[in-house]
Amino acid sequence: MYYWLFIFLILYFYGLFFVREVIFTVSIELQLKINAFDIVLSVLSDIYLIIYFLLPIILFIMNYLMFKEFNSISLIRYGSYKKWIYSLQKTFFLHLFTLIIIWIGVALSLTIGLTYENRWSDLASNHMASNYTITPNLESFIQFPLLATILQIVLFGISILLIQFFLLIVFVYFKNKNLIIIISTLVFLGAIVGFKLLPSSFMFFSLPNYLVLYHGLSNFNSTFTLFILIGICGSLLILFAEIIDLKLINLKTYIYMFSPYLIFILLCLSGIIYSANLLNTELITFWDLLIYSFNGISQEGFNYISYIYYIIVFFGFIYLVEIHLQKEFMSISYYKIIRYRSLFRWFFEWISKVIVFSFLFLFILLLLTYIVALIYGYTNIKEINYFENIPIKNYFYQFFINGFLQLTSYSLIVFITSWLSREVFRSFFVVSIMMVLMLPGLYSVYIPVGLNSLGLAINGSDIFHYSILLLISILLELLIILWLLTKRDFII
Amino acid sequence: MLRHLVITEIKSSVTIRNVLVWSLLILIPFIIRFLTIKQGYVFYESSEVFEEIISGFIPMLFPILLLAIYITSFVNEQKNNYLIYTKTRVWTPTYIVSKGIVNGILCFIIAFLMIFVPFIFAIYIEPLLGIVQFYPSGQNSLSSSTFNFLSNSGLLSYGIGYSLWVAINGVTYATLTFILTLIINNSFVALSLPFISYQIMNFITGILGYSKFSPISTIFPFNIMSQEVWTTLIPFSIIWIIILSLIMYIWVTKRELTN
Repeated sequence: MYYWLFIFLILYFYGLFFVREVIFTVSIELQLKINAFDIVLSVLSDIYLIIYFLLPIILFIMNYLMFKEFNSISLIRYGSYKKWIYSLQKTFFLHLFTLIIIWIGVALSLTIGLTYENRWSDLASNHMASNYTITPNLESFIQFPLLATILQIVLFGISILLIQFFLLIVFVYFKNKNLIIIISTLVFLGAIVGFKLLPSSFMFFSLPNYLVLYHGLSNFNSTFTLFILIGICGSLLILFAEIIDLKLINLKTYIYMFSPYLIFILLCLSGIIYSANLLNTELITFWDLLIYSFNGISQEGFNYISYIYYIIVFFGFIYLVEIHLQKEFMSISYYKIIRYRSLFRWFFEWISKVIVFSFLFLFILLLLTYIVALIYGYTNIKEINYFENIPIKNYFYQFFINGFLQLTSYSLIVFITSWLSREVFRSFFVVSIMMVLMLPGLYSVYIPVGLNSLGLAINGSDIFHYSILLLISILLELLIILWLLTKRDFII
Repeated sequence: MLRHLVITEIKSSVTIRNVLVWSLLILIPFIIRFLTIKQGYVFYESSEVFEEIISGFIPMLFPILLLAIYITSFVNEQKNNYLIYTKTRVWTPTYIVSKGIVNGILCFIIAFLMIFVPFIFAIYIEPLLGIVQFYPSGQNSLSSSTFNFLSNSGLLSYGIGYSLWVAINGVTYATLTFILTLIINNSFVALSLPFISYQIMNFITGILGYSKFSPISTIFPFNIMSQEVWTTLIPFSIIWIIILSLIMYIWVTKRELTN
């Protein structure tokens, strides 16, 4: 327990002499009032404090816990590497939590005598002071100082936990203590280098951007981006942790199993990158990229590439649904239906799964577009420049709600044809006919095919009309399915 | 033995139902496409009508139209373990090869007719009926696609030559599908894979800016500028290389193709 006292004292005296004093001097010199948040935020995001003092301590605690717990007794008790990793994360989280509580305590104790109010102080609102303290820089990004404080703590905590996660996975994989010590040193040195020396084009790899909210914001220009990047790192690490217990032979089957999805996602990504290359000008925003990529068919004209990209993305998804349905059809038996109690329940189980996945799929498409927009520097998510005359929410509605309805409608059609012919392959013909119905000459907006193309929203036509059409078609399809499931005797 | 098997197989597959399906395959795309283009398009001569008929959705669906011809019956035989019962009468590889040959022959004939019937209609029958209105050609030079060099020795030779090219490609895709059904256990995936890869290759060549090598534009070169003839052979030969290597693979790994 003594080392917590030691940390407390160092934090306190550093804060007292290097943060509080500086801010007070600045406020007196510029004749601007300050409040408690100026001190709290400055203490919590002091880059020197974090990199030269807290980070080494944290890395030391991480390594110490890791090496202490990696023995056969505890490994046997936890049963798998994955469980071991997560339990260590939990233990480490308690240490980190204590540290952060002490840190916040220090920050609060330094604010004695100042006013507590949830708005930016005069000092923070004045951009003259931005060279001396960090609060003026944060003020331009975040509305409330309390929110900024919370975000800073969350960002710091998550990033540190992810670093530990990464170290744990590497350690379990290679089982080499020296390697971990080298990596920890490199993280420490990388943080120093990233803070001082790295050019701004390497901002994705610079650690201080992920530890200090103010640095991250000034480099990425948006809180959203920062947390998205962290989310991607986190989900990748979770994925690795999930497969770490598999032997190599299982890994091969896993790769074999996931390769279709991987290829599919890569195809989706390539189309977005193609559009991003095509649109390459300064004025483009995220929404322009989204609209151009998922243009599909429009009433103005026919673009072969966007048509075929629509087919690849959305009918590709339907193809995956078909494969899933085929597995379901192959495994269907009287026992299974008895377990589900009725065919309807079985059907609704299936369709609800499809619905969840189509939502997820649309979300992934948005995310992919966002990542590409980020890489190309189209970070503006508030306006549209290229297709400007329609409000953003219309496009969002067309992409998400109509997209979801359209995918559901396709899936139901696939189900009907597969159920009628007892063979999923027949539905493939139907899907191909739907592709053809989108070609010019045959296409009309009264057929519920391709109605989620963003090109249909460009000229300001009524997107709710499409939703109603899709809803009617979904209702009809559901009625047909209900009729089919009651009418026919179930034959395997 | 092989010849005997092929002849009996062809005879048994020419049923009323199948002939109906085949004639629908030849006529339906052609008729629908003709009805949609007969108005609102500007034509200077009848070969353009033919090209417009062909460039509709036959190219989009080409590999999948071929599936409806014959191969699904072979897949059903595989699924119902019919091959085991033929074992006592015929050496299994011979049986399978005969099926592949029949598949190729039927796809060749039907893909040929799929192009040649619209050709005969557009060039020889439609002018008699006078459904489409032609504009005087004047200064506008005639459209030229990759295979127009065939028409140097007459329009009919162009029709036959181009139909043969599509028919050969039909055989290519049909054979690829046939080989895949032997390798992949999941028949749905095996049957759909050629179509999926056809579309994916169209997309990838499109975004990379090499449309002249895309499968769709080499078989039906009406949506791009006239290219040199050797470009059309690139995807064609790539698919044949894949087919041959798959045959080698089967020959090496599955000597006994019994189940």
